[in-house]
Amino acid sequence: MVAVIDYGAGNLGNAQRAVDELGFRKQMVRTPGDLPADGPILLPGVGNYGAAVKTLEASGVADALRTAAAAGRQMIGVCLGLQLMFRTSEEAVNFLGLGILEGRVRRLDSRGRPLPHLGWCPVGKNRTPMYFAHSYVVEPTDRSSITATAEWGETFPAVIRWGAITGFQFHPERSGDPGLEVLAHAIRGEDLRL
Amino acid sequence: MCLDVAKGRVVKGTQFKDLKDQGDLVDLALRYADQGADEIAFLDIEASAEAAQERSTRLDWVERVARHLFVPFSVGGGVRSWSDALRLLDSGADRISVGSAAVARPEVLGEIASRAGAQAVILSLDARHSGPDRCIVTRRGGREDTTIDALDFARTAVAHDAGEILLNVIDSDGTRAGFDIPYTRTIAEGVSVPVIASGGAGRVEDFLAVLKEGKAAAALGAGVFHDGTLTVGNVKTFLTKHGVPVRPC
Repeated sequence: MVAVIDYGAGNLGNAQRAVDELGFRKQMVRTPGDLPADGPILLPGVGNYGAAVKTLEASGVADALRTAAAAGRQMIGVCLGLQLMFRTSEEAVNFLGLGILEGRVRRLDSRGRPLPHLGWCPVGKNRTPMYFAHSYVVEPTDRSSITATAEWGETFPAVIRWGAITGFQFHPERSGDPGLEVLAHAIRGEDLRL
Repeated sequence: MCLDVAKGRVVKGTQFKDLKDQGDLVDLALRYADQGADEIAFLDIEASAEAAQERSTRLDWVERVARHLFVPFSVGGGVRSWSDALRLLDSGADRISVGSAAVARPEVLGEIASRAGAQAVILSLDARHSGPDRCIVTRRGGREDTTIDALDFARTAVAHDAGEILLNVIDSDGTRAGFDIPYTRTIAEGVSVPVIASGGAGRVEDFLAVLKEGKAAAALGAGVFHDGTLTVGNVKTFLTKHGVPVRPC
């Protein structure tokens, strides 16, 4: 059972549909009471950091996620979902995120290339093309948690693995079959083969 | 890849007129995704035309597409508010394009971006030449001219947090005589966000030219793909050969 967190920004549907397509059962989570006792938690990624934090805090889901992370629960963050796991973001300086990963979120230094960074970009040593739609990137304190990078102006973290947490800066649910495969590996807690 | 939608079917016209049925939209979307299309842009052309009757883009086909398509797609046509956008996002659209409503009230772009993020907001800019180097903004899919300068308007939209500009130069639309390279470049160099070029694709060389000389971040085709003149694969092979990095098919 995959718990999919709904923070009301729209387009959580595509994360759900990807989970369905992969044949996993899912539970949508809007309140702490919706959260199943075990199984992976998927924090999808569309929206604005500040707006998402506000919704998650108001519903009490933010605290439930902190507790789950502290207990070593398997969590998967996608794009903004990954960024929300950090405590601060330059996208919304007046808001504090979940703070379950150490480091920060800052604006991507595209070195003159257009921003937001939109489109397909090779990821990791196999240079698998994945779909990105973001203006911000994560900067984890523990650099060894970066297991794959991508490049748009600067080289930035594309995949974070830290304990039971997996984070994707790209959208595996929108990256065709290779993306769905990577998401399935993450849900099963396997090597991502990227 | 751009698909114009009317009544849940894909249609194609020239300069937004003489619409011809091209087939079922899920079939076509999947065909283009299989060919290697990086992103699919749906435009409900009736939603905008019938704006007077306040009809918003219908959602059933959006959900139908989302159930089957696992590459990104945008939906536009008749989006006037955050609640219109939210309905489309909830139905599965990755990104929302806003046209006429942004001309009337550019703030709507920011209202969507502040919740869904700037990356989810596309300004759909239908521009018509008013001089050799200048274009004006049109509304309702080119049916109505304004006096607003298109470059000024593109900058206004970016100031309101539009994350991308889909530039359709109406003078070139459907002509297959090539994209409007100079004007695409004017817009691309005038704003910080990516510009998608649209209107006029006829040959593989057109795509290369608009990406290189036109400085577009992406290029859109419709008619040439519908009738099989080109495939997405043809275009990508050509681009790769000429040093433009593309996602392999």
